Amino acid sequence: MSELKTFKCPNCDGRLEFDTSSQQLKCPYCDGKFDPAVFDEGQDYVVNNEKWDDGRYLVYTCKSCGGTIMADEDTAADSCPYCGNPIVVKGNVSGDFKPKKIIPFKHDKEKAKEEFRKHLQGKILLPKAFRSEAVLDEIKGIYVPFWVFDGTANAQMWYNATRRHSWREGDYDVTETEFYKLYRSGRVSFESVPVNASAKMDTRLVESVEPFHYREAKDFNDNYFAGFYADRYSKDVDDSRKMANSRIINSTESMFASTTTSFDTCTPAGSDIRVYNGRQEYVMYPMWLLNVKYKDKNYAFAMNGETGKFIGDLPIDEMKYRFIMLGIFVIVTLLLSVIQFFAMRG
Amino acid sequence: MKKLLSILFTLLLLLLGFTGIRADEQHLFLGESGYYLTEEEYRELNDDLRYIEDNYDIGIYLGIGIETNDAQSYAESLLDRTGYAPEKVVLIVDDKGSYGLVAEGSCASLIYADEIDLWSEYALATTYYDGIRDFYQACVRIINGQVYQTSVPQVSNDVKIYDAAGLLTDTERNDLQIRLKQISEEQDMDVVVVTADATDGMWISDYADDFYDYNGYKDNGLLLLIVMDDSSWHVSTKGKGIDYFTDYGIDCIVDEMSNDLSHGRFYDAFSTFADQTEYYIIEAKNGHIIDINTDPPAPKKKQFGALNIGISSFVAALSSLFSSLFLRGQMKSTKRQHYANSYLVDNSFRLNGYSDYLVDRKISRHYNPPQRSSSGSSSSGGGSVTHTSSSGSSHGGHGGHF
Repeated sequence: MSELKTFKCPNCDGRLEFDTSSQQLKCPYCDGKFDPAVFDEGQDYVVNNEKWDDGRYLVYTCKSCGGTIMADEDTAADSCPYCGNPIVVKGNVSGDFKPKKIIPFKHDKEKAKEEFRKHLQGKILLPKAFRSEAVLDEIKGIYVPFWVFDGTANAQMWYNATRRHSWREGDYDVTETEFYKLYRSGRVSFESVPVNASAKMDTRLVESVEPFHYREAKDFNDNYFAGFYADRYSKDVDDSRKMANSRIINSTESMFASTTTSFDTCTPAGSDIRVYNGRQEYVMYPMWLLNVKYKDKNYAFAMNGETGKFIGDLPIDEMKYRFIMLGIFVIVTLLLSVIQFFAMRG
Repeated sequence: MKKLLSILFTLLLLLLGFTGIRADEQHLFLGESGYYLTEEEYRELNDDLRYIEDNYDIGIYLGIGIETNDAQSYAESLLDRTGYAPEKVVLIVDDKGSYGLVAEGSCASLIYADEIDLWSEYALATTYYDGIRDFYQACVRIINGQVYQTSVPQVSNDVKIYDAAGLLTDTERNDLQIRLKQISEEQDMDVVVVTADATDGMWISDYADDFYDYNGYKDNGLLLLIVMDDSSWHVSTKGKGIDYFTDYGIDCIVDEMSNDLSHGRFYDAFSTFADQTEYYIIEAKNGHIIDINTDPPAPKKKQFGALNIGISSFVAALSSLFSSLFLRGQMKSTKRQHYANSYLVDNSFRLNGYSDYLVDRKISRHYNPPQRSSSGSSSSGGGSVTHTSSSGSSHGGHGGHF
């Protein structure tokens, strides 16, 4: 038994989707707009024919077209592959799985496609065929589950440092080296450090589109899911906290090191950093994922749905690379040789 | 400074007049009001006169522009009261142009002889500096004339290297002879190198000038003289050589040689002299005379070779490396985040403990003497200072020690 939610226009029964430019639920047929924070018109449907398929997938029947929707157990939002009707799996966004906050998508699919084109510009080593042959296999907007942690680091740091002065005495260069032991203690706070909570998402990809700004987040409402995909969290909160704290400790060390710049050399001699976590929250952050096929290989790209930051590693044309390096080497060698030759001629 | 020196001199004269004390090392041979000589010239002349007294026992005293009504008796009274050298000559020129000239010692009869006109040595020169120089050089010539044979070796004007001090091997001498002869012919200017153990009491500049004048060298050229007994050098220039080789230019050339000279690598030094001289002549003929305000010479002509290509390819390899880092870096945009700086709470960074303990201090000293710059004296202006040699021709150039 599981409850599915669909989004029907109260005016015309049309399919509602979240519109990034107006930040409203929008009906493409009658142009009706509804505030997702409060929209609630009895859209819940009970689905009776839920069943397991080879133990990994849950199978639902689309209430709109009767088609079969297959989703895994972590799926929180999806859409019917036949009619595109968006659904929300209520069981995965309520109770323990109810996120506290959500940053709604601010950039739409077209923006993601445009950023992808821009991403390819000026990349000299990109294989020529990539621009024409690469196929945008799939593009989807995903709400990625995150754990966010606050943390205040109390730190004591010790450093060995030196400072040099030079001057002249008669015919002598005199250098005085002073050796210091430095001690610093203090505190620094971090807020809403995000950690990817989905086992399905590539953490490297997710972290690359950071930062997300918690201040942009709204109180969670599953209406924001309309038209997007979402997974519930599948990673342990305690492991995630360790990852956040490791980032907090690294930043703390670098901030304390920045108080020692008046010395000529400075090496850490010891540290005691304790992180006190306070608030921790379960949130949903938006991300566009693009899967591109080129020569039977998949290339993953991602865009931050809040900031529009676009990332993704590109293939390198190794032949072109060698040719360019050789070219630079030969041309610079020749050019400099000729310049030197004529400079010596006077 | 000039004023101060002339006041000191006047005071000295007065003091000597009253007490008759013997002048010490500080004493001044030259008095003038500061109107006639630059400070540089004044010091140079005074040093020369001291050198003459120390080395030749001839005290030559000059007062120029002295306010007196009777220069002759002024000179006589000064002669009685000053100096301790056996030979003394005093020349006083008053502010109206009259002069008094007196002498004491064995030279007196010579100085007073009718056929020697020491006064015109002073009076005929175009500048005060030249006049004073001509005067005391004439004095030294006259007085030494009794004692020393003042003649330079006679050689053919084909000889471009005359190594009386024996500093070079036969092969080296032949090499230099060929090189100098080639320059002399190509440039139509004689370039001559002379070495001597001593100048037999002659002024080094006179020796150099006379060697050039009396051996039939061309009207344009220059001569480098190395004298071993006091490690001195002198470059004498003549005709176009005076224009082409300014005092500053000569200093630059000698600077290039000085390291070799002071280490006894005379062949290397003279080769440098030949190369540099040729370069200076060619530059001058192209309208670029190297002088104090022109660019320092950069004549280090080296051959383009493997080293240059090596440098080029090294820089090229670096260019490739940096291009590679840039171009490959462009293709990679995913990375794990190891810092949380984006999530820092504004102004939350508080330092509440802060101490820098000085635990040790080390001092190291490294001996690093300043680089020796130009050798010899240099005038503050550019150009060449000229003088007239015993044969009556005009010469430029100057000298120093190595």
